[in-house]
Amino acid sequence: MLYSNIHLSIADFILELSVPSDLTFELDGGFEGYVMVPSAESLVPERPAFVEASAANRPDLQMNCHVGCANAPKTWGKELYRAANETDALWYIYEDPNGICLHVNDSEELSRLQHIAFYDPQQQLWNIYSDLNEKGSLESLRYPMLPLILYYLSTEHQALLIHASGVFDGTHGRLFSGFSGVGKSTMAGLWQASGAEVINDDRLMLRKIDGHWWMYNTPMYYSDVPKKAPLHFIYLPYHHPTNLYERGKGIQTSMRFMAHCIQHGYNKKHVQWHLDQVMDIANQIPITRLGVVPTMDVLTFIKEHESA
Amino acid sequence: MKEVIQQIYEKKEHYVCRHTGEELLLIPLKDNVADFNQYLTLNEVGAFIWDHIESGDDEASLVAKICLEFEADKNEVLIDLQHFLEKLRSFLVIQ
Repeated sequence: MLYSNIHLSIADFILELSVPSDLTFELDGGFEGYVMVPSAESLVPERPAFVEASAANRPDLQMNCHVGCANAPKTWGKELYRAANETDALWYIYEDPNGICLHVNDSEELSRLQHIAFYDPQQQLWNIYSDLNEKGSLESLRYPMLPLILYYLSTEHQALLIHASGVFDGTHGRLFSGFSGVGKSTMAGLWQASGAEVINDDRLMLRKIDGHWWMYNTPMYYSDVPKKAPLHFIYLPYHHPTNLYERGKGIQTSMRFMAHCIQHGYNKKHVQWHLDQVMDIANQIPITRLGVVPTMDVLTFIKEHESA
Repeated sequence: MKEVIQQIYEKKEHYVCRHTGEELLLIPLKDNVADFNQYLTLNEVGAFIWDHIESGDDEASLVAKICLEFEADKNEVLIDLQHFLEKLRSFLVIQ
């Protein structure tokens, strides 16, 4: 079978997909802006960023995309973790001789297996077996496969995935993190109305590059282009009758921030790694609890306190 | 007290630890999930004890380790150690 390569640039990581040439391979609309190079041959000349992304001139991650869950090797062992409610699971993680094996179900029909994927961290290689989608296309990164892949990237690099919105006003990058309903999207909307760029209003990847932390968007279900901004301020907003600025200190604030990071706690090394990243961020970037009245006045309120 | 020490030793693997300055941060892993709302911080001496508890330790061996690291009266160390170990066990058992 012939394969061709597709390259994605996500959060300045280069992901190389090897896909069967004789099938329609589908990346949904959310990926449009992230497809960088149509062929491996033109990779280096056309992508200066590629050289920056990997000193060894290799992709940060390789993914071999295969057809059919039934064709996956039956090598997995005991279950390590599952993302489940009381009755169903979206995905399972199993032991595998070379790393881990994921069984990922269709997010809209949880009883339907969508992918069986193997990750070999030594080779930084995924082998993803997927059943064809309703259109007869191979859709190897269909949700939630890509977020899972990005999660594992974040366990091997100075990176974090976090539930947060991020905005950049041309001078400062600000992140607003919290559980659903605290006002992440509202804050992003207010900044956008004032002319700032919204990096994303729901999920960000944070990366430390050359000593500085950056925030990136990642592909969502809607079309977007890759965005990044330096990170200068972190806010933990909550609804309050008045605007309130409470600069955090110490471990308690770091833990509040870490609670919003995307984690699979089954692996102690991953938690340890992410804890190290959070403490590094907390040492570099002020983290503030922010009582919010959701009007434009809060933007002035924030800027005044930042410069105080 | 040797039983308490052994219980603490056996619980250690269920915690993620990080030194921050002279303090040690402990985060419990419960049902394969790290619980960031139930963390514990230990001071310098508590961190030393956590780091140096080994299987088979008893009060005397721990007091000896502590007195080797910190200049302190053995009897005072013993009393403080007993209080600390009981409190630590209570916290770990609840998690």
